[in-house]
Amino acid sequence: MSAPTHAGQPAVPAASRSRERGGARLADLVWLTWRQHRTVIIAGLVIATAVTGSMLYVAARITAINTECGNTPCPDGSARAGSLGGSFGLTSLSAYLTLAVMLLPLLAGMFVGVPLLAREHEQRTLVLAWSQDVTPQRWLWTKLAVLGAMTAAAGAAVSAAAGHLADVATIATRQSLFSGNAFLVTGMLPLVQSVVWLAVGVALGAAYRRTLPAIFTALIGYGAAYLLVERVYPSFMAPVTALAPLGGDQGSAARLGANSLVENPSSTIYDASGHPVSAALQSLCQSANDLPKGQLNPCLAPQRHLMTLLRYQPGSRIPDFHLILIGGYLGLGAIAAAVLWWLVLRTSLSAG
Amino acid sequence: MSGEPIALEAKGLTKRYRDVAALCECSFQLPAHRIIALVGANGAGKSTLMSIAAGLLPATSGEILVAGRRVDARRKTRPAGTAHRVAILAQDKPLYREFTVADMLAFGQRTNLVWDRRRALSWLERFDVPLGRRCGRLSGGQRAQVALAVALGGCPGVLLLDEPLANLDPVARSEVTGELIAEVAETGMTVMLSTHIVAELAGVGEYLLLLAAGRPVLAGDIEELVASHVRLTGPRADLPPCPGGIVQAQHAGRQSTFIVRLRAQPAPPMAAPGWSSAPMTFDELTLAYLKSTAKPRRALEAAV
Repeated sequence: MSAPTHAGQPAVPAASRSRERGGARLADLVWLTWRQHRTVIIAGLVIATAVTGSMLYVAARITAINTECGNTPCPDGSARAGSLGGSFGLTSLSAYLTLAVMLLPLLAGMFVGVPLLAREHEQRTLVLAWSQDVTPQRWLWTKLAVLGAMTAAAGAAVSAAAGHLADVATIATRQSLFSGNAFLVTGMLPLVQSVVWLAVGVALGAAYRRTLPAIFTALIGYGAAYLLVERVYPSFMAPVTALAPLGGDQGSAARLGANSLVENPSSTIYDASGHPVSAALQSLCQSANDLPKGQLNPCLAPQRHLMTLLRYQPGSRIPDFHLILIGGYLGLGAIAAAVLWWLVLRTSLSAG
Repeated sequence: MSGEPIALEAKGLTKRYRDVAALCECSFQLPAHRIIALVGANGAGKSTLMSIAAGLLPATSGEILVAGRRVDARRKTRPAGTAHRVAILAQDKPLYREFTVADMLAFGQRTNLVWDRRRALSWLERFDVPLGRRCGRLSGGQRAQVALAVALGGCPGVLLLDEPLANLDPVARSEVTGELIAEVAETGMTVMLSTHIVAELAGVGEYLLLLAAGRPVLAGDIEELVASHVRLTGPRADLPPCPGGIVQAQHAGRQSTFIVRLRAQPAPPMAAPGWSSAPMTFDELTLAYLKSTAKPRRALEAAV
């Protein structure tokens, strides 16, 4: 009795069949990614192009007005100031577009990242995709690379336009590039955020295996991250301190440098030599805030030379702050990628 | 099965989902170049076994070999040699809904190292599946044909079909099984076809692997298995009148009926007075084994 042998070659010679060389090369996986995600890729590029184009148009209009006004804020009441202000003025449009830019990373996470694995799980097509010759890891990382490159390209264009618009808009509005949304859409932050939220979206889709809960979590996470960043970023470095005359334009660019970020002034009042004034004078000055309208605050009299302590972040620190924030986002992206790797390795699929 | 090449071999294969064992210490060898009927009740472990063989699911312990090569659940690489290639058709025949049928063929070509476009196309042509139609608009039967075409195009040495005939009407079932038999004959691939509807396998399966509660309870060439089992009917008795393994015993009034697996083949003529012997069909045989294994399982479930 002969022992069973393992099957080697099929009964029919290979030459009798029309076997062709298959695929599983990079170009094949790029095709697959494009074929599967072309709708969202095209929609994303259209949105990014529209936002970028709009920002460049608004920036060009504001630049023209800034030039006409000598690169200083236009006089109040002038026709040029009128076209800048108002609900539908250029600065308002700039603010709306900035808001749109801030939402783009969220859209990338929700509509490009989350469905990448969640929809495959929902439609059970992962069994099909992962039972071919392409390994799950290669399938996933190639798709991520293609979609990440698309997102990065769109994010780069949007970021460049947003930075340019913020530059010209802050000239017109006398605002600082260090404050509020202007800081959060400059320094190529939208590019980094888009790529990172794409990775977070994919990881959430892999974790939930359902599109809607993953989208909802991405939404909550993005909102929480925005609030956290807005609250925390002014404290990335110890602020610079300076004494400034009480009242008047304490935080002016002339005094603190352009694009500085000023914290709320200290309630302590100092004399010209930098020493805190007496408790009685402190109390007098604080109670003077409640004086009836029109009555002169005695603390603001120039001859008193009373000062307040300003704490601020100088504009020269903006690139450093952007780098710190980018580092934080990249850390989040690395965590998302690690979680995704772990989830993919332990994903088990069943044919039934 | 001595001397026959082996397509699939399991060695102590176990799969647990937390406290539930889907497969328990399964060890078996399945011959190559044949259609293997994988039969079992719902929850017997058929899909789990196929998923492990396809590399989609890791085993808890033990291993499964395809043409002598261990299946790697993490599938870091996949062999290009035909005999080791495994294709699986999942129960729900998943396809990308937004892809056209032609796109699905392109998907197959672009995600496999080896691809036989003519073979895939010819399968679709046989069943008149339009290449330009989106998969989301295909009927259940057409979806099954497209999924089968993609699986066949990958030139598998082992094709695993999990409930492949479930969405098909009787005519389509007959056509698909006929074509599968022709494919096996032409290419020499091994087909494992799972079902819990035994009637679907009539005239299709050549080799049987019957699973019950995650364990193989019967395996062998179907013709030999059918020939080695008889139904014995006679006066009430605790044991049948001839030596053999009792698969099923039923007692009603003064009459007893045994289904027995005979030790000697061919079956000797029935000499015991009052007893008659009847041959069994494949359906009856599998049903008897399924019933005999269902009783202890139900008792166990009730006890738990």
